[in-house]
Amino acid sequence: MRFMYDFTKGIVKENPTFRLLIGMCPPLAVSTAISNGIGMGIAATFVLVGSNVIVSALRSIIPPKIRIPCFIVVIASFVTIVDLIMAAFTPGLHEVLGIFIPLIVVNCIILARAEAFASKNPVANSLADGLGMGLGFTLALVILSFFRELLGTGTILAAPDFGFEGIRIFTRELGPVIMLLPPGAFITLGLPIGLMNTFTMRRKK
Amino acid sequence: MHDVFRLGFILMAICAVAAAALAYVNDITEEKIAYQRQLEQERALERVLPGCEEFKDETEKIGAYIPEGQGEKDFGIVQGAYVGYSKGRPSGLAVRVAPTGYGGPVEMMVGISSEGIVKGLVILGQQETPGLGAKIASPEFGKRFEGKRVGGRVRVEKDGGDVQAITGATISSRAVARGVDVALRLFEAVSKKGLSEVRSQKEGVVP
Repeated sequence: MRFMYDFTKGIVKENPTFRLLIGMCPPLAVSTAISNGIGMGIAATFVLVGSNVIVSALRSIIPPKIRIPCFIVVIASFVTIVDLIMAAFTPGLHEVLGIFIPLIVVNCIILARAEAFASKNPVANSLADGLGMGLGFTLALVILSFFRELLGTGTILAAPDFGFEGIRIFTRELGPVIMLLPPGAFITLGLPIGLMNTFTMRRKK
Repeated sequence: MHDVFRLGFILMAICAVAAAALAYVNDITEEKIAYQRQLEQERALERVLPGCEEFKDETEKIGAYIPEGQGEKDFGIVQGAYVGYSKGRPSGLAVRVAPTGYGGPVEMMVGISSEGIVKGLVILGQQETPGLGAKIASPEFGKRFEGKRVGGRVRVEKDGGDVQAITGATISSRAVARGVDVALRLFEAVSKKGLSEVRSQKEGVVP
């Protein structure tokens, strides 16, 4: 029961992007195409699960006073290992996700979950938490990039790196470029956050 | 005081374990990564100079061809030059350049046929904005440079040229145009002086 809750809470109730508002740089920066959103989401989920499990396993060894540098060492090492292994064995995927990997080290979700959850909970629950938070993050990225890609370029799921043209809804000249630029990111992010806040407040009343 | 040493020691131990893990992973992946890079380079060469089945790395010799005087520093972005051979004859020059884009260097390979016409363009690495500048890596954008000839300058429309830049990504588009431009000028310099040294090992026409 508790295990399931740790998994599902990250998807809607404590969605890192829409509810916790942590790790906001990637959702703003890479949500210009759905393929980018999925790529960043998968890479971050992978690191999140790995760092959560390791931090949780080491939680009795790490002294509270120096926990932050210890977490950072674990996270940075894990990201580097993922980066190297992907470059060596899945070069195609690495080419697509390559630019996102270094961004993950500084993604605050990873450190926030290590600090707030993994350092206080058993390994299995931390794994569930990492998986749920990662899924919630991926979901948020997909929602944001769906609207930005559709409104900005008029396509759905265009992935030139895989040679996939995507589904064209209208010609690219009709799409306002502002949706692909930073202001478009803030507008697209603000609306779902506002919507979710409205619903939560209604329910509380 | 005692605490400082204890904590320092624990942190050092964790760092040591992390370093050992990294060293181990680096050790098992280093060779494979180098091999993948090599493979990627070969694939890029085959794509920019279709029809060539053999390539010779002539990067070290190319320095002698760079023209002196003005514009010399433009050639600083040249990273490598490869002569492509078709049926044993040199039939093209592939130039690896790294012009500076919006998010850092744009690594690319430009293939020029022996007639001095751009045959292909491959982006090998870039850190441009995803969804905007990153579109320079799409084959559709690369095609805008095919058929460009030695002698003319390659520029985006904003700079008085005829290459259509990507909407909202003039700086990235300009970087690619500069890369093609420098590659063509290098080819011009090489073909002017004759490729006698470069083709030393092989008989054939000047690329």
